[in-house]
Amino acid sequence: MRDGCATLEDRGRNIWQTATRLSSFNELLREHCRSMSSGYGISVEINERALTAAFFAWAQIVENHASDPHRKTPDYFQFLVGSLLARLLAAHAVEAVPGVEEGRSKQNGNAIAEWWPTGFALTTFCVELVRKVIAQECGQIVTASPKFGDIKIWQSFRENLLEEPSIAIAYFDDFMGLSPNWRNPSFFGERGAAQQ
Amino acid sequence: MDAKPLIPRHIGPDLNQVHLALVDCARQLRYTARNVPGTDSVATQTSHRQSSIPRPPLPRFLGSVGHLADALLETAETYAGQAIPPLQDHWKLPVEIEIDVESLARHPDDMKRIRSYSAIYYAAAKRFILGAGAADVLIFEHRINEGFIALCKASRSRSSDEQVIVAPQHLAVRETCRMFARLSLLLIEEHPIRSARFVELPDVLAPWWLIAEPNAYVFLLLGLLGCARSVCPDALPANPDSAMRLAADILGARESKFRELLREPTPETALQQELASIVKFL
Repeated sequence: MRDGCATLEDRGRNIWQTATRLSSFNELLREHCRSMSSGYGISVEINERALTAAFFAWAQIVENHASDPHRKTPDYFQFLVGSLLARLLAAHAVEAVPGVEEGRSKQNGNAIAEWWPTGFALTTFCVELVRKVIAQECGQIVTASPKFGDIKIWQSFRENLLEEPSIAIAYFDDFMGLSPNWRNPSFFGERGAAQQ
Repeated sequence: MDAKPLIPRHIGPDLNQVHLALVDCARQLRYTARNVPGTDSVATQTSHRQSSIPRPPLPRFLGSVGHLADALLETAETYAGQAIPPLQDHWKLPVEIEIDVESLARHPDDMKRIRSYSAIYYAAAKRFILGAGAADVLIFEHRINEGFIALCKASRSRSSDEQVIVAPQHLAVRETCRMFARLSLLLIEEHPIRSARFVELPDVLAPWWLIAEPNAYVFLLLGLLGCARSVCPDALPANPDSAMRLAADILGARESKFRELLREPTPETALQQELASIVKFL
């Protein structure tokens, strides 16, 4: 991922708290969307109503797992951020703005972003978010796997998402180098960490 | 064949209430007039001459009506001082849901405050429903007023017999959520929205619930918004209409949860928890 897209800067704030409040979450995502234009030459914008619906549907998941014995583990945050990605994608919380960046010179490595701007924008946002959250809450450094740059996996992701929105959780795990639960991705209890 | 009644059946009970209120008002006027000592009015002097039967001195009727008029004028001036537009037009401007439930609980007999809050709720409900695409809407403000009065009564009886030891900040949030939960349920019970006629479907995120159960939908919405405005005002958009749309979107996202909790045996507690959980994420 490009350095220019690291918009979730710490600035002394707690990223998880920021991400779990609609007003500050909205700001984070807006900032990220702006950075997509300079970093990848794509233009995306937030659909406020869809974002609110997705966020509060996700807040319900966070609430449901608030007393989980495995909370505060990296896999817990990985699962919740994956669930967030699934909700944002399903609600179409971000929309591509066509034609704005046509005059720009094509940059190397933009193929995925150009092919699926909204999916790419939201996934990179969640990758950044999970990296920062796990670093702050668990003191561990996680990075995206090489699969993140493989357009074939993105094609499969986009295709399967049409049939099953929760599959985004599994692809997100795959992108972060974890073994995904393809059969029941939205069930935290079936994840490796939760079973230990 | 039975003749068709002139008045639609569903507003019959409310017309009865209006009738009772008018009768009560007339009784009060008569009582006031009787209890103010003074000379006879012109009309009563005429009737004296006609009947020639001795009667006790009649009250200074015009004087007591004057007192009432003064009181009404004073009330009207107070309202004007607070720049509240006439009721019929109030909904045409964006409505800020600023309900200080703490003050309501502290001053449960403050009818002026209750009336102003009822007017806010009435205007906000009407504005929201018409804004959602309704062709027309009929809301009885006196029923909203009844809901607020019931809330004050309930909080008065509760505050005397309940003492819980919780951190002040948490207590304040919990109390606010509880008051708005109770207010929403009381208003839903009162059924102030008598009809909301939609020619076309309203907004995509909350279509059928608003049409099928306008009271539940609208008063949960206003309760949520009022609660959020009290607990975390900075998290809401500054524009009242945008704040209302945000609350509608949240309600749409949590619709199944809200509908479920309304069916619970203790909906107030469940609604209080749901409101607390939502404001935490704002």
